[in-house]
Amino acid sequence: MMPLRRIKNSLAKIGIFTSLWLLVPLVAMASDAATKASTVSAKWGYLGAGLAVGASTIGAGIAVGLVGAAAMGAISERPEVAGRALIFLGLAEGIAIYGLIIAIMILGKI
Amino acid sequence: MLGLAFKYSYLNAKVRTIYSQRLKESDWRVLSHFGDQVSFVQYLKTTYYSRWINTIFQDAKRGSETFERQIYSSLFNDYLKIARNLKPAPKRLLMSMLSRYEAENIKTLLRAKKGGLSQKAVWHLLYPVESFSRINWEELWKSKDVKETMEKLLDTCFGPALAHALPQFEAQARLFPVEMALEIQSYRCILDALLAISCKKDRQMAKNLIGAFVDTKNVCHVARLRFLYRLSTEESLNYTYPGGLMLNLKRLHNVCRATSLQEFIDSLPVQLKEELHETQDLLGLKISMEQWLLKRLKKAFLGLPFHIGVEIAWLFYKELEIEAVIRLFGTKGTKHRIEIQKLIPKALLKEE
Repeated sequence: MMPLRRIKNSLAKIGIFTSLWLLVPLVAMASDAATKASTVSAKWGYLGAGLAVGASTIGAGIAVGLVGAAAMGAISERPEVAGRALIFLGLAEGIAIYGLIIAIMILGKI
Repeated sequence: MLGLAFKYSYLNAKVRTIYSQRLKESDWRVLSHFGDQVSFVQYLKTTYYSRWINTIFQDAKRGSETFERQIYSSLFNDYLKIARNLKPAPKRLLMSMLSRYEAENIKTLLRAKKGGLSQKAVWHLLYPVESFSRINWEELWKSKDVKETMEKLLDTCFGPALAHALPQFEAQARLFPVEMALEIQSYRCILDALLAISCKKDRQMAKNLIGAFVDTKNVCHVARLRFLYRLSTEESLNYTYPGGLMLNLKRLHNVCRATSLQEFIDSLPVQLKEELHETQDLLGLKISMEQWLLKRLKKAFLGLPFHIGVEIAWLFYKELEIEAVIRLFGTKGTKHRIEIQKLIPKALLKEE
């Protein structure tokens, strides 16, 4: 009859072997899944960053169009208001910069 | 909304900037204190009007007689400046608003022809319409008599009215019906141009402002016809301008039936009556009506800004401002001191 100690050792060996046998592929599989997941989230990240820059630039374009036209109208009648008009033009351009900042933050997380 | 914003952002900023350069309360106070016309004009040359009146009183030839007409160049310049940036339909509306001044010049021309006066004799009475008018004035001045002048005008916007008035003139040999026909036709042209505007918001705003302007004109005009020229109810009604906001034909009929100024004021709608409760004479009536109109015009500058109302309000505002300047200028040649409040509507004096 096999002593109890030997049986325990054998079981431990089998357990370790089985664990290794199971864990290695599992780790390998988990790593593969993680790579796949990060690729998908990166795709969304890139899309989000692109949207942030694109939409904010369109918004800024509309704002600059409106503010710029109004500024030209005012400056044509009173040239001394040119400085103040440029400030408002800068504020409109700021919209595009907000979008760019958000895009940089998204890209930093990927 | 975005489309309207793009359409009007440039123009509204331009008009609001011009509006900011209007005569302020301090200007009116200074102008009212001058004792003579020369000082009055010298001060006015330091304001927005300088460009158009800088030759007045520079030499003996161009003095007070030209001031009243030359100052209108400033208004016409604003009209053209705004019209340049508008689409065809609103542009046509503005140009038809200017046709009122063409009608005034035609009236002067017809009177000169009837009285046998030359262009040189009446040139100081003519509005400087050369910048926008399409009428061949040189050709008109070459006409031998009133009839030939009227016939030459048949292919203009005044044609339909003159075609109707010509037999009347030939039968009565009076210019008054012809003059009235010209005035009324200019308002009809405005109404036609107004209805041609496709944008609902623009049309509504223009209708409200022009309607209020026509009401003001009709009240002053009917009062003058009834109490100054003593015309009958029917004749007075016949000579009213079309396109009023509150005074439709039925109401105008009631107004024209009044036999005294008090009865006249009582027959007006409540909104107008409130403004006229202290009125005692025709000048007071005119000033009070202008006050009522100015309040409405100032409201056009509030709220959502992207519509033609801002432009029309400014042009009417400026027209009233010029009329007030001319009224004040007229008192400078006389020894009578009239209180500024009796000559200028409070809304022009008040800064907001």
